[in-house]
Formats: sequence, structure tokens, C-alpha cells
Amino acid sequence: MIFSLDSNTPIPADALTATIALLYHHISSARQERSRMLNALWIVLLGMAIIFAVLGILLLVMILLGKLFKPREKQEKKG
Amino acid sequence: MDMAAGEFLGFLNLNWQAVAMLVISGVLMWLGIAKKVEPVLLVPIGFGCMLANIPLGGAAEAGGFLAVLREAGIHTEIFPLLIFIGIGAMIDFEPFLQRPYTIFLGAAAQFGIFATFILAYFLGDGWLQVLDFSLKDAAAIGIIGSADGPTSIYVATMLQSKYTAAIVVAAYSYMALVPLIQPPIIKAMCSKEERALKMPSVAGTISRRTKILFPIITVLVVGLLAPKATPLIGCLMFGNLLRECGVVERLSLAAQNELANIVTILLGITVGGMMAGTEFLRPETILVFMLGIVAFSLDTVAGVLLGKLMCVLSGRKINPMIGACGISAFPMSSRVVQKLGLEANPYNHLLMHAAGANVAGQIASVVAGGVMLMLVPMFI
Repeated sequence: MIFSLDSNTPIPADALTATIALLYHHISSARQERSRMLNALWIVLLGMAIIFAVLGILLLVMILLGKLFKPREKQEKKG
Repeated sequence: MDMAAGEFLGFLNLNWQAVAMLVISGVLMWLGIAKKVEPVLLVPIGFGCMLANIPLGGAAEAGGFLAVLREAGIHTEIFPLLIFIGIGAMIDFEPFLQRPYTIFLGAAAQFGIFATFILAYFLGDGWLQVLDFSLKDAAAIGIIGSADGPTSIYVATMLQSKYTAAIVVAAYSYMALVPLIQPPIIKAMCSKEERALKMPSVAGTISRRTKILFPIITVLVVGLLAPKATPLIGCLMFGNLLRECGVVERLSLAAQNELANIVTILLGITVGGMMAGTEFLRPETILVFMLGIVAFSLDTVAGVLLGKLMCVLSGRKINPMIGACGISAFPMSSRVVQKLGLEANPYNHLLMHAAGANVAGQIASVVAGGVMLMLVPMFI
């Protein structure tokens, strides 16, 4: 006898093994689901961060470009 | 005799899916022709859909001309890339170059892609498993939020999603429906006072040298940081370089007219040909369409929220509505914002400001597509 609710009704060992296996399966699948959703969340966070970073760098380059190459009319007016 | 008739008479082979799709094809063509809703897209798509659903017609079956076009143009990603050359040649990036800060509005308005992706994955393999959405399918569904047909086709095909047809049709349909989707969201988020806010006009023009260097530098920056976006951004910017360099006017005009028109015809009819009833009419397809509208709406919400923040930070010099134009759907969302601005204040002309955010959204949506293609395989 491994475990019983009352001392007269023993739970067979194979039933207990099956219950534990089922419980383990549920816990492990819940863990897998959580890890899958965490992966998806990483994609969201990294994705938005990369988009802002790439476009931010592009903005800096464009600002630099705008400063380097001003329109000719403006330069003439200044002159 | 009955069997022989069934073998050559199409109407004897009609099933409910084919009938439903024939009705849908009729509605698409009616919207395009009678209501003038994006006729350039909806007429070919509607016609292709009709051809694909005529029993025994074989147009969309293996060896049929629509199947050949699908194989040659969609599966190889050639059509979206070619159409991007045409789009690039048509876009004037000056409104954006005059207001480079609008690039962040474009970035913010890609949020709908990622929010929809996580929602689709949650409903699918990620958690609830009530729908057959793998990580790749969820990413492809999310990309509807790029509000950009070619990017949606490219990303969905590259990710080999089962729902490519539905995704493409949803992307193009919702682009046509931007004038219906965006105004209620913008009105709910911006007070009349905010909508009436005038933006100062931008003084000065952009030098020709900057306009020529812009497409080259954009390809280098985006390509080196998000290499998976290179084909898309490369074709878009190649078209723009043809336009701006000023020495290949013939090629620029060909890209804007002949190339864009021919590929639009082929792409439209091929997309329609992907709408065979037996494959298309599934619960998942309806969900893809519903998630598509979620993506467009969340894009708009995120864009307007950043617009509001910029409005505050700039001392009310930026109308928050232009954030809604970050969703790329060019030029529909610019027109929406212009119309709403004029409704609130008859002297409030926001078109050029909105166009700046709109073309910024075009670049941002391509980057978002590349980022999705880069990240998803890393997490499988």
C-alpha cells in the first residue's frame, strides 16, 4: 500500500503512476504553453525595439544628410 | 449519360462553397465598378475569384493559368517585389524628408502587427489551441497590419503560411476600407479641438542630392540592420531612385505605368484565383479577416497615441491625427486625415503632413516585415 484515503482502501500503484503521469503531462504542457507565449512576447518586444532602432538610425542619417546638402536656393539667399 | 453530363457541365458540379464565392466575386466587382472602391485591385481580384470558382473550369487547378501565375509570381515572391519598384517610382518622399520625425509615427503604427500576431498565436498553437494557427501563421496574419499588400504577400509566402490567400485578400480589402475603419477610431481618440489643430507649413525644399541619396542610404541602413527586409526595401527604393535621379525618365515612367499596371493586373487576378471556395471558406479564414481588422485598428490606435505624445512634446505643433497615417495604406489614410481635419476646421490642410507620416509608414511596414521574417525562425 502506498497511500490511502482511509486505511481500508488502498490505491493501486499503477493508478497512482497514471495519475502522476497525467499531472506531469498537464504541468509540462502548461509550462510549454507558457514558454511558447513567452517566445511570442519576445518577438513582439524585440520586433518593436528593432523597428524603432532601425528607423531611429535612419532618422539620424537623414538629419545629417539634410545638414550636409541644403537646397541651393537657400545657400544662395544666405550668400 | 448522367455521368457524362456531370463531367462536362459546370453547373452540375456547383457546391455551396463555389456558389458563395461566386457571390463574393460579384460583390467585389460591384464594389470596384459601381462604388469605385479601389477598382484597380477589386476588379481583377473579383474576376480572378470568379474564374477560380467555376466548376471544371480548371483555371486555378494544377496546370491552369491562374495556378501557373500563382507559382510563377506569388510563390517566387516576384510579383510583390516588382510592384514595389512601381510603388517606389510613384512615391514622392519629399513630405517625409521635410518632416523626418514622422518616421516614429510610422514605427508606432506597426504595433498592430505584433499585437495581432500575439493574439493569433494565443488563439492557436500558443495557448488555447482552438484554431490551427502556428507561430508562422500567426506572424503572417499579424502582417496584415502592415496595411501593405505586397509586404503581406511577401511575408506570408516566405513564412509558408497556410492562410496566404486569406491574408492577401484581407490586406487588400482592408486597405480599400481604410476610409471606413480609421475615422471612427480617430474621432474616438481625438477631440474636435485636437482635430482642428493646424500644423505650421514646412519652409524650404529638399535638395536634389538628398533626394537621390535617400533611397541609397535607406537601403544600406535598413539592409545592414534588418537584412531580411532587403528585397522589399531594395525594390521600393530602386523605383524611387529611378524617379529621383532624373537621368532615366523613360525607366521611371515605365515603372510607374507599364510595370505597375501589368503586375497589378497579374497580381490581382492571381490573388482572386487563390480564393477557391473549398480552401477559402473555413472558420480560420473568417478569423483571419477578423484579426486583420484588429491589426488595422490597433495600428491606428498606436499611431494616434504617439501623435498625441508628439503633440504635447512639440507644444501643440503636431496634429495627433497624423499618427494614424503611419499605417502605410498610401494614400488612403492621408486623405482620411485631410478630410477629418477640414471637417473640424475648414482652413486646416493636413494633407502634406499626413503624407509625410504615410510614406514613413511605407518604410516602417517594410522594416516590420523584414523583422518578422528575421525573428520568427529564431523562435521555432
